[in-house]
Amino acid sequence: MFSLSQRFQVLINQAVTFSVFIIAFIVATSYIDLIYPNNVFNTGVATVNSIKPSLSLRTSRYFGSINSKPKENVRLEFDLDSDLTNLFNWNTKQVFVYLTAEYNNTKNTVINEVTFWDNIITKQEDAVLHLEKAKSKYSVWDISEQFSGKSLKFKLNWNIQPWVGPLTYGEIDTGYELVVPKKVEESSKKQRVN
Amino acid sequence: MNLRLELTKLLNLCFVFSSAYMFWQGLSLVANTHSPIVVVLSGSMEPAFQRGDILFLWNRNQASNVGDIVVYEVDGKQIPIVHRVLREHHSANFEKQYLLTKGDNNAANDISLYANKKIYLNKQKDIVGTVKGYFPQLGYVTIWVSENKYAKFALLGLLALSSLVGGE
Amino acid sequence: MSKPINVYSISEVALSLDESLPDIFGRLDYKQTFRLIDQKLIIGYSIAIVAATSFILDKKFGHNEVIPYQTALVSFYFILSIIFWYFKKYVEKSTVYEGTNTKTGEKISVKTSYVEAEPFYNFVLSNSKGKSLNVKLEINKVFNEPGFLQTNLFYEWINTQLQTLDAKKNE
Repeated sequence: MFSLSQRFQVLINQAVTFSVFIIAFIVATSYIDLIYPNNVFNTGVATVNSIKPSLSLRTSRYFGSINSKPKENVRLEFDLDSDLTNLFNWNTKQVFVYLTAEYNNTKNTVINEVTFWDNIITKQEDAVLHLEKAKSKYSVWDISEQFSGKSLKFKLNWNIQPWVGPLTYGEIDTGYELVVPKKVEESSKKQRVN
Repeated sequence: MNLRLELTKLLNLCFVFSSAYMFWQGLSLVANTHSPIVVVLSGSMEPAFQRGDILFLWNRNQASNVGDIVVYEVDGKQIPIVHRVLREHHSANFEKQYLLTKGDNNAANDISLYANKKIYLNKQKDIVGTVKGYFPQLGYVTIWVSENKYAKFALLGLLALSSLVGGE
Repeated sequence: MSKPINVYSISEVALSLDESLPDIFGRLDYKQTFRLIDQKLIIGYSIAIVAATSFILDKKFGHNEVIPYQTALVSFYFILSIIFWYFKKYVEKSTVYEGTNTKTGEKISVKTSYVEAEPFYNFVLSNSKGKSLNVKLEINKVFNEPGFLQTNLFYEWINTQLQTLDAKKNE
């Protein structure tokens, strides 16, 4: 009947057409699943509690120090509760969840957002977060000289990594605010302040 | 007389390459980046991205958000890096933005990767694009082509042959 | 009469018949004219040149340096592609042969087409006086079983069509 190359061409064409169709279907249905019946973009709940900051001075470039000038670094201890089960469906490869704080400098000319803690969730069973006295994953410094005195607003953010299709982002406001304490004793390298 | 027939065949071959290339160029202009589609080469973003996955980039955003996965280039290094934004600091009018990045699968942030002892990336200068879409594994073809010196010619030859042989 | 073809693939059959037309019309005192083909080649190669320019610019200067030029080139490419598509669909249509009779100066053009999986070669012959003839050729009349084109049979068939068109003209 038809030559091998013709058969091959038809086969490839059909395969591509079907794949495009299937992918479009997966992407569309998984998105609908996120917004209906519960819209995950605005129904998420996250509570953080009893955040305890601790300040230290670091002199390494890897902790924000320039020319070995001591740099204030902040670590946290915190409680966190959130249920991210709704973010999982047939097109969720993983959920990347991260706790960030937003703050401005005193003149409101620089706006900052920094990550204190993050986690990769690959199974729906692990999507209920319940952390007590958890330690922040990162030692955070500010781009300016000082971190102390800054007023931090905490948010829990999530990012759905799909099996195929667009990456999806969302955030949950925790309503928790905290002012980083003013003083740090220069003599101690890792002294807890409150 | 047969010159026209040969020219027509050659034209079909030209169309195969030029349409593929112009599609890429058009995509580059729309997404405002020199690489609108990249292939993941390392495992530093596992399990989100594995080697061979294809990423679609967009670079028309004014500023990056924390959590965005960005592709950046370091002066003097050939291979762009795909990592997640860990911190961002921007001026109120978005004129300047500094970013700190980290690979999900790496223990430490990227300061040791940045050029000239810098501890931040510059959004306007260093960022190639932000990852917006994902397709698994298909990029292995290009990894295979770029790492095997005969594969490139084999693939080009196959393309040329198929356009010459295959009629309507 | 060079090599056998797959007679079950109508696209191959039509292609080989199309390719034999210049020869056969040549034997019937027609000289092929290349107006349409030349126009198509000019548009086609300007598309290729635009793409090549874009490629060279990109390799030489890098994407960020030449964005305005690339935008212009991509628009050019897009416009030319539309012209090319329009030319193929509405101007050339499926014209496969144009020729002028060396004795009478009469101009003819031939459009051919086929329907997938049907053993017919649709043949539209028209002349400069606006007369045209639309016939179907059963392909088993000009191909033998191993797949060789019987040029003489095809020649005679075309000769008949030309006479029919001629007769039409004299009506």
